[in-house]
Amino acid sequence: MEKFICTNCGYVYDPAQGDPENGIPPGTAFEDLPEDWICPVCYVGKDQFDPL
Amino acid sequence: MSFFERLQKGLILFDGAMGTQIHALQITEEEWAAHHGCPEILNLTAPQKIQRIHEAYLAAGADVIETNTFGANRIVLTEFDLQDRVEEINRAAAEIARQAADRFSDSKPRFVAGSIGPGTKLPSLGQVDFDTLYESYAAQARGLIQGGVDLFVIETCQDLLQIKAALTAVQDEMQRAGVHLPRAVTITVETTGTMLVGSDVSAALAALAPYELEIFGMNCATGPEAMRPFVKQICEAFPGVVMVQPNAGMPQMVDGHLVYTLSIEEYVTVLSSFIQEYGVKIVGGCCGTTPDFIRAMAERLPYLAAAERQPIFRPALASLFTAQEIRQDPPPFFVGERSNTNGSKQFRERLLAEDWDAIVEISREQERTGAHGLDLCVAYTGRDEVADMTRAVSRIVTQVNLPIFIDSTDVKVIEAALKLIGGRPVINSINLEDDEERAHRICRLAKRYGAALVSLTIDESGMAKTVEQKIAVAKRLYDIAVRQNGLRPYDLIFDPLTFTLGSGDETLRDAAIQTLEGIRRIKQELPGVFTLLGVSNISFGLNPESREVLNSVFLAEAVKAGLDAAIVNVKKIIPLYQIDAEDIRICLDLIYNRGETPLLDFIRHFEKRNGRGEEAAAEEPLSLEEKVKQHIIQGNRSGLEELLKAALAEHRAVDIINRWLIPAMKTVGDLFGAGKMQLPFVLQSAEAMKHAVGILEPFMEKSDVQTRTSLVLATVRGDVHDIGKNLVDIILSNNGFKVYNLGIKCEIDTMLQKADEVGADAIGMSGLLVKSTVVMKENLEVMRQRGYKIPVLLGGAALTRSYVDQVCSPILDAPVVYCEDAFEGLKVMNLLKEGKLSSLFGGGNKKEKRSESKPLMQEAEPLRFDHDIPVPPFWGSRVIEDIDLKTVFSFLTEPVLFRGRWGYRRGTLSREEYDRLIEEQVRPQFELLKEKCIAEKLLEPKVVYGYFPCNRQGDDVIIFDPKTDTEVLRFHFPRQKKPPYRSIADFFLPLESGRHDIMPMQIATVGSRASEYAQRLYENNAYKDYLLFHGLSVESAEALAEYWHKQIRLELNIAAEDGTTMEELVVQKYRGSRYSFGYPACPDLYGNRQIAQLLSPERIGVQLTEEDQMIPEQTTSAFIVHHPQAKYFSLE
Repeated sequence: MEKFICTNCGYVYDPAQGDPENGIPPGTAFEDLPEDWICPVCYVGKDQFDPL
Repeated sequence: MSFFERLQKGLILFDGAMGTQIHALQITEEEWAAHHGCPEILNLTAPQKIQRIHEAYLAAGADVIETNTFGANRIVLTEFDLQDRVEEINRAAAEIARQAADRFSDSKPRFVAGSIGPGTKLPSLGQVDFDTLYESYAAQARGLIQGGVDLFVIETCQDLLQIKAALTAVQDEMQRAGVHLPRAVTITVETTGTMLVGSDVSAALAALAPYELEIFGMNCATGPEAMRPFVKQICEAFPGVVMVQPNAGMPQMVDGHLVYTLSIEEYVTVLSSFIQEYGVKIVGGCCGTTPDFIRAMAERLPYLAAAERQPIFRPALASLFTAQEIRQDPPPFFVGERSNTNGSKQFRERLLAEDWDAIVEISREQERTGAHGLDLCVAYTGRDEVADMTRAVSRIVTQVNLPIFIDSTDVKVIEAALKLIGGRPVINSINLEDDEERAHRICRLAKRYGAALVSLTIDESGMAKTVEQKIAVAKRLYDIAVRQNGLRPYDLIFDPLTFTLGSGDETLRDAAIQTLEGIRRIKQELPGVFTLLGVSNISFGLNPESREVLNSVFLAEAVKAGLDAAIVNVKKIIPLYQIDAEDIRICLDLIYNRGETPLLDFIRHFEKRNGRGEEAAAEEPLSLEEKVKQHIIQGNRSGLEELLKAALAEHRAVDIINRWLIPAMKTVGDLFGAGKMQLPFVLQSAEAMKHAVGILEPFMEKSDVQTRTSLVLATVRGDVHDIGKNLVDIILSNNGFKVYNLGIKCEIDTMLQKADEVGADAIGMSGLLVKSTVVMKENLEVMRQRGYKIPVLLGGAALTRSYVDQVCSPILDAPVVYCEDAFEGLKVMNLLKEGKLSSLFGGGNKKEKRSESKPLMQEAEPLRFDHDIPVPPFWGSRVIEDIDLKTVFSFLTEPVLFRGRWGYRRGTLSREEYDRLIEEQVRPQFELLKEKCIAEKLLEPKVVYGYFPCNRQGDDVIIFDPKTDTEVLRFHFPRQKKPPYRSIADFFLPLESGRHDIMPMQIATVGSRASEYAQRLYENNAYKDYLLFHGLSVESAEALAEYWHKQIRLELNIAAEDGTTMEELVVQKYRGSRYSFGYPACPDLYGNRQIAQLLSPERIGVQLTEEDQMIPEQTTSAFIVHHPQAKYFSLE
């Protein structure tokens, strides 16, 4: 599963870790994140992410 | 007071026309003394009459009067049989003016300028040779110096070579007489936008830059208003004082007489605007102006202040016609190698046949294939090299639009060529092979004729092979050129030598490594200089197919090492992305001497090759239409003009735009949409499009100008961010739409007024802030109340499709459309144009997948207060101004800059393709831009920060005066409406604890020059540069904030837990948190006003808008919470 980087702040979404604080369990592929998932650091939307 | 001193002191007024005044006098036959029509003879025969003209101008208020010597050079005076009286006439003229000026010097200092006109012959067109012209001016300059002038004004210049002759003559005569006077040059730009021989302003600036003129500007010709764009251009680029002396309008024939039609009021108004808008410091009049004009100007001057200028100097070369910057984007500067008797059999044969047309044609061919400069070598044993060089150069200068690299080792040949070149050439080359004397002589030539200089790292012991040798020779050459002969670092282009890797010579196995390292070290240790390589040497002796590949790969490596220029056969350079990865690896092994037998491996690998298939395809002739489209899609402006002119022979301009250019831009949009083209390349295409339309526009007929679908566009009230809006403007304007760009902080009233006025087809609103989304909604409500039914396009970082569809769209009784980016805006405008906008709404709105995700760790840990309260090094605030920009850059988050701000997204590219894009295109641009920002001080990092005692009370944090311990103000921090119901206030010790906590805060900016420079790039249609610079400036402000936050942690002694990489800092790997108002944990921008109250950021040039945003845009403010559990959270 590929990592994705937030082009607004540089946070990297790592599927192996997920985003537990926001309800995303480890092992969730970026593509499977809900459409309204936002960057946990700077709060921009999924469309601002780019494959690392 | 010398005129040098006067130049430092405010505006200066020159006099008006001399010739016009003489025409109005009654001159007797006796006074003409058989030299009828020669105004200069009157200096001897009617000195009182000339003096009265001077006095009339002095009485009118002129600070400087010009001697009556416009035509008093030897060539012109010979036409009146006065060739033996040149010195005498000039001396007398200067004395007359001197006496007049001295008589009027009580009220203020007055000065005499020795006027040197162009004469009647143009050297670039071969009408006169350089030496004759030089002598003609030298005699004049001698007389003027003897008569006591305070400065020289070389005016009404029509030919750059003529200026060089006049300047060298003036220079030499001043040296001989032991005086040092300021020099002014004013060029005359015709209605064609060029000087008479065809040079544009950029060529003049480049050719004259080495002379370091005190004053440069324009006079005569067209009348002031038509001068405006060129005056602006000069003010943006010329480092010295700018001067303008226009005619009283364009001369018109009335009853057989030339009449100047401009009113005094118009003249004063335009000149005043040049002073106030562009920073012109010297004004005066040319043909048709009278003492009345000068008096009116003198009365206005005390009320005017010259705009502050920030000229940007870019080292450039020039053909006779136009300048070419040495730093190309992307690098390198290509120097065509085919016009060389040593390198090209065809060229050698044509030279031996003395077929000069063919020589010119070979050179033109290189221009067409994309060379930026032309290397010219005519040396051939047994032939007269001076004669051959003279014949070749005199033709090439007027027929090939490329700066020339004079490739010769013979001083006489070099000087002969220099005397023919009006633009800015390069001497190729000097070295230290024989003795230093020859190097000195060539340096003096470069200085005298304003040429740049290729310097080879060769000394008495031969060609430098190791890095250390290369550096040592380069430093010696630098010393000779810069320290001993007064050249400037950017006049030097070092060639650290390329040796072949194809010879099998064991001692040369690491030659490429040494050369690449040589480039790196030269750039590092001799700042400001340029580098060049004869790239093809690397593959000498190898088979032709492999040579092209190796040359191309080596060139790419050299560019990465910092190479600025390359002598190559441009046609044979293959873009790396077209080369097979395995080929590249084999080449890199050879270049970097990897493996046991890299050369053998290389030869074996390419043995099997029978030419490249791609080349055959590339050479298939494209139709004119395809060529034009390819230029647009590739963003390539060079050669576009020729193609379009050819196309105009068969097609109407409007058809070329609609059927070729706009479809090409559509392809660009499609490529962008498919993730196959990055934003900077899109902008490069838009620049090419703009350029193309500019070329075609003069050929459009009135009836061709159709009513275009139009959009009124603005950033909404309270928002200062304009990059997104400007990108929309760029894309729409270059796709045939009319855009009325109203700028930033725009009230809805202004938008609606404009829309009414122009009958706009749609309104576009943009804004970056969260607050702007609310303003957009309010704007729509205003539109509904007033009954507007015009479509609205909305875009901006904080906006979402669902917010637009669900909240905004229902408000207005007209389509309201969310546009994710400029191309979606384009799609919407195209639908609107075709009357199909409603199709967007037919199928119902896109359904948002809303998921109710629950945090897995709902219970946040309770806040503890077992940490120390840090002790600051001082209380209150401090300003820090001397911050090293390099350090700031080291805090940049590169992926954010590259992918976010610049738009180099990976998207659908493979990891490998993306890495290559970054290394080959993005990083070189990045390094260049950083270097430029440092060299030209485009970014000025400044910080104001401080430490304040504080305590929590409820949801407030009270700030105390450190001295009096009384409350200064209180920040209000709203509480989350969901678990864990956090407020930022919670992180501070409560008032009842009895001891103070501490709140550090900071405002960081990279300065207002950044905004102005970005704006200027945008206005000059340098779209890509605009995007790159703007992105870097904004991201640098963030980097500065990150850097200073680190400083604060160090000062508070809480930096022990800090992460070491930018990746770690991004995810807050440090103790505490840095919050900015306007973000989810504290969204109210009013906090900015409170921080400003505490820090007084006007001390670093930062202001607040009425909406509590900071300007310049490249500014951040923040407060810092040191509580170890403080991290980002959102109120919502």
